[in-house]
Amino acid sequence: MHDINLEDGDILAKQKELAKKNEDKLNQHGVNAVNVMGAIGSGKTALIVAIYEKIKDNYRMGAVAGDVAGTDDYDRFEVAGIEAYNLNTHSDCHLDAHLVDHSLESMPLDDLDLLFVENVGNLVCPADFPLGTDREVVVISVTEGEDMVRKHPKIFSQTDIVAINKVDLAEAIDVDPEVPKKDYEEINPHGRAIFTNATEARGIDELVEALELDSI
Amino acid sequence: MHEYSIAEELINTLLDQVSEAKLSSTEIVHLEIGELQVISREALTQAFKVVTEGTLLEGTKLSYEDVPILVRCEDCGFQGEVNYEDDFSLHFSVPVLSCPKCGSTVDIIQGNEMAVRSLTLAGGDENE
Repeated sequence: MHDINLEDGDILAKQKELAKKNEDKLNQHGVNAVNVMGAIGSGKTALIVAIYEKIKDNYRMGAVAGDVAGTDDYDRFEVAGIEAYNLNTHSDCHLDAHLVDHSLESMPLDDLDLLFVENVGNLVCPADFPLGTDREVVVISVTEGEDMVRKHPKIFSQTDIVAINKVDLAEAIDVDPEVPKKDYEEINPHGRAIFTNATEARGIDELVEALELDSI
Repeated sequence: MHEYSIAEELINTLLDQVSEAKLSSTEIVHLEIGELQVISREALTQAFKVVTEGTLLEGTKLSYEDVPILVRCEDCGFQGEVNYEDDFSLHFSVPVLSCPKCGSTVDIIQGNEMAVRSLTLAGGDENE
């Protein structure tokens, strides 16, 4: 037996290359992009819509609705008046750069300043697949329990903005939202955890500011 | 459960860079996995086994080597390993991605690897 070395054995090289192409394409059209990750039902769509309501006069905003199947989130974006693209993975538990490129090919990028890419509901897999976005946000909701950060520490240690959503429900289900906030700040001292309630627009100004966007 | 996607990317990497003759005699694929990657080795090993059934790579084993996190501080210039949050309720040590000396933000210079380092081939020698 003998060993041979590989010069460039990076398994994710193709994904990174595709992500760079997306980044270049977005830059060419002057579009900033945000990758929004979080579990199923954490409130990603509602938060994106709430952000849109705050900034729609200042930015031409679009959204990609990433889901395994269906058009539910896409429909929500459409109802809100957001330029949207429905991106079904059919089986994959995450978006990848190739899939996102399909949406970029179909969207009127010249008419957009800002694009939110809503990832498939999942807190593990999306973290390994770069999409070519400028920023990442992770959304958790108090209804997932106060131990969400402890259960998925690695995605939180690498994400600088976390929205702790549905805080209005915390008391009713006996969850202390300070617990995930404290856990997050311990493993990511430079990150920013923001309490939000998307349906009543609580914390959205702070989220918009953390994203370095101008609100109305 | 993205290990099947990773297994496919791994096979594409091998097909791009290694001749079929060498692939058919590959016994072990040595992988380097950075500490920041969220990969289940058990699931990747199983996915690789399933995806390679009936191909040149059937029966090939995967071996794993950990790559620790290394950072460089933007402020004080520190370069080295990070501190870990050793709260036992987290079930494993979680890296704290800030400078262990001054607490400032850091650039990650190592720890995100997911790469094939080398292959062990059956028979022959390095000069064949």
